[in-house]
Amino acid sequence: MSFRKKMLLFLSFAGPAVFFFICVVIIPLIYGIYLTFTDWNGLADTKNFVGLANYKETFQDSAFWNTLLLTTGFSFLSVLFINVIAFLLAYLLTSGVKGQNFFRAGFFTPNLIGGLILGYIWQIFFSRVLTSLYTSIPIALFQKSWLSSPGTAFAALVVVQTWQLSGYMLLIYISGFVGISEDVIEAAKIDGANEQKTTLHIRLPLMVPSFVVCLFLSLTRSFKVYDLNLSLTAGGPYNSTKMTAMHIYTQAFENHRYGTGQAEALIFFIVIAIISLTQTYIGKKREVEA
Amino acid sequence: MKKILALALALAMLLMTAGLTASAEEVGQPMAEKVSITMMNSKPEITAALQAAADLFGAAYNVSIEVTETSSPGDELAKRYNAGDAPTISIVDIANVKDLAREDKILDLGDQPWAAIGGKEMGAVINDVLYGMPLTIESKALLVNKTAVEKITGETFDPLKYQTKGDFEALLQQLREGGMENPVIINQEDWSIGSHFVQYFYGIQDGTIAGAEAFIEKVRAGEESFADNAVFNACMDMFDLYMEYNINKQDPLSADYDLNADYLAEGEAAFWINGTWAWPNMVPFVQDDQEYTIMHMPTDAGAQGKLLAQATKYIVVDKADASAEAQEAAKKFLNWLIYTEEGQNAMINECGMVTAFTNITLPPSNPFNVGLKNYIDAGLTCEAVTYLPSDHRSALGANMQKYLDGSETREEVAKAFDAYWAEHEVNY
Repeated sequence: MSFRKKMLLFLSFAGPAVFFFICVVIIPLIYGIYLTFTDWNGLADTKNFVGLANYKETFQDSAFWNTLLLTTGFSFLSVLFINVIAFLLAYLLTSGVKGQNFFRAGFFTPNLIGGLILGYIWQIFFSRVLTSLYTSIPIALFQKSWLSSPGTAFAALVVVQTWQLSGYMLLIYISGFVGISEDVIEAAKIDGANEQKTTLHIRLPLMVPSFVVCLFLSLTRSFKVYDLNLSLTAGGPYNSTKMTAMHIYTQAFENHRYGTGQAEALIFFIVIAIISLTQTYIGKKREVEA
Repeated sequence: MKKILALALALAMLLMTAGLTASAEEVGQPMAEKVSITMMNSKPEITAALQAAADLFGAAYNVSIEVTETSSPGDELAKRYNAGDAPTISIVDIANVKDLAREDKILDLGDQPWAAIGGKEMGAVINDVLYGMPLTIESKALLVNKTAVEKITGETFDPLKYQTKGDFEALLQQLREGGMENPVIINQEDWSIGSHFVQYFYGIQDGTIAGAEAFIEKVRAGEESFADNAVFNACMDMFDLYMEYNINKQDPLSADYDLNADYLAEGEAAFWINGTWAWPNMVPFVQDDQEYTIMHMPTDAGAQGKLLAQATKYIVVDKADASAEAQEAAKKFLNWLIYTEEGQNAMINECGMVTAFTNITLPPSNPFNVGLKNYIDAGLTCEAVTYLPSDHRSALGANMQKYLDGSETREEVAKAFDAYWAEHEVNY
């Protein structure tokens, strides 16, 4: 097949997707990078070139780095809980428990509710339901709303993020479990491996691709969290749970510093890209084939 | 008899025509050709009423107005202007007017007839140019359940009786002894305590813009600090008092806005630190046998007995993308709102606004607005707080929340304000 024919074939399949990808991702990204070198306020017709001033401001913006640290902590805990819970549930729900299809659907449902709605529902739970339980179960955990002090509000965010995403990752882990050939398991058993050893030495290594996908998805989603942050805590109490995406929004749209906001967004993008690509690279190296 | 009746009818017709001519004079003739314009509304609760008014006007003046709503006017304007599709008419906040005026995107409305009847006085005026027509006046005030207070005190509630902290403290004490344990409601939202309440620090320095700006300039020059300022301390003393009697004091940062409305509506508490815009939030809970009103914040310093009231939404007309005809149609619509019976009815009764225009005699449509009108008529309002930079709330909003839950002291709040102003300029 000539190069021209190959190109034509490629474009006929991938062309539309590539076109829209360039329009909605690549061009805005390049334009965004351009904006980081200007003093644009969002309305002005002229955009004055200011060199690296926005990057300098970003490095001096301690609030930005604090939110980045907080977001990293949030992502670390969320990724850990999401994946441990999803993996254990997937293990249970592929072991032949009665009604496992019903449970799979049930655990997946939270993922169908949008982040905003989910945040508002949980807000009522933490502020009203839990506190009203205090009258019958008087423990300190229920005395005050979880959303009114920094530590518990942060925990609330992790809880809801875990609750929302575990069901989604559960499906990927289930497909991983189901995808392992029965022959391999049988061979292991013939060789004398018990259930624990089979899981540890056969199932887990064969499921690395599922881990790579789940870690990537949960990591990037947790880093980019905005809707849940907005609806559950709105960054409060007193900005203590403001994640990076929300901080960038405030800079660009409330404080009218588009250049600085865009520079912070770019740095944030690079941080996420480095972390998630490293994770994928390491994960891919560990992949084995049966 | 028939002759008299005919005469009366003729007279009535003449009067009606005369009235119509008089009211339509400022609006002018309908557009010769159909003009289509757009209106961006940042007060979502009135969108339906506004569209109905626009349709009524449009049918009579050959104009089609499409109303869209947004709750973030700043973002929306940036989007629309960059797309070359700016709304012909925009209902916006003072910060947006400043942004648009700075970029020379909106019309000078100083030549409009309504400028002279309250429009310029309460409108968005920047560098002596009138850019925004005042749509409504709102007040940051104590919302009051009058019936609940009177039931315990046994006397008619007169807000003007309470001028100082001592006066108000005695009343709160009396209410507590009368069985209302915590008569005050404080919101936890940063826009409420961190953006609205803090405006008292500036607004009641002496009740004027000049007074507030002079204070800020002194802070900027290092000649004065918030910690030493009598008005700041008087306001914080009041905040301490509110906190002591706060119905949410067990867990102040978990206060729920709707529940707060319910507390006031049903008389569980008597004073809600909020503003006149909260009436729609009250409506689902309002009791027929209770009376409601508003009052100023009593203080021991500054502009005593005065209400922080100002136009909070302004109507501006685009000049960047709008054609001459579109601009003319937009101006006609504004005049129609102010000078015709239908327009006034739409603005006051349908949209529930408190007008700045002296020619409109329709009474306000809810108890909070009635209370506000009383203060305006008595001349007991401070000049508008229009000088705060747009990041004032995001930078300082959290400090009052920290103060409310006891994790920051008054000195720390004062220091945060000093530090903010060391790096910011008074906006215009």
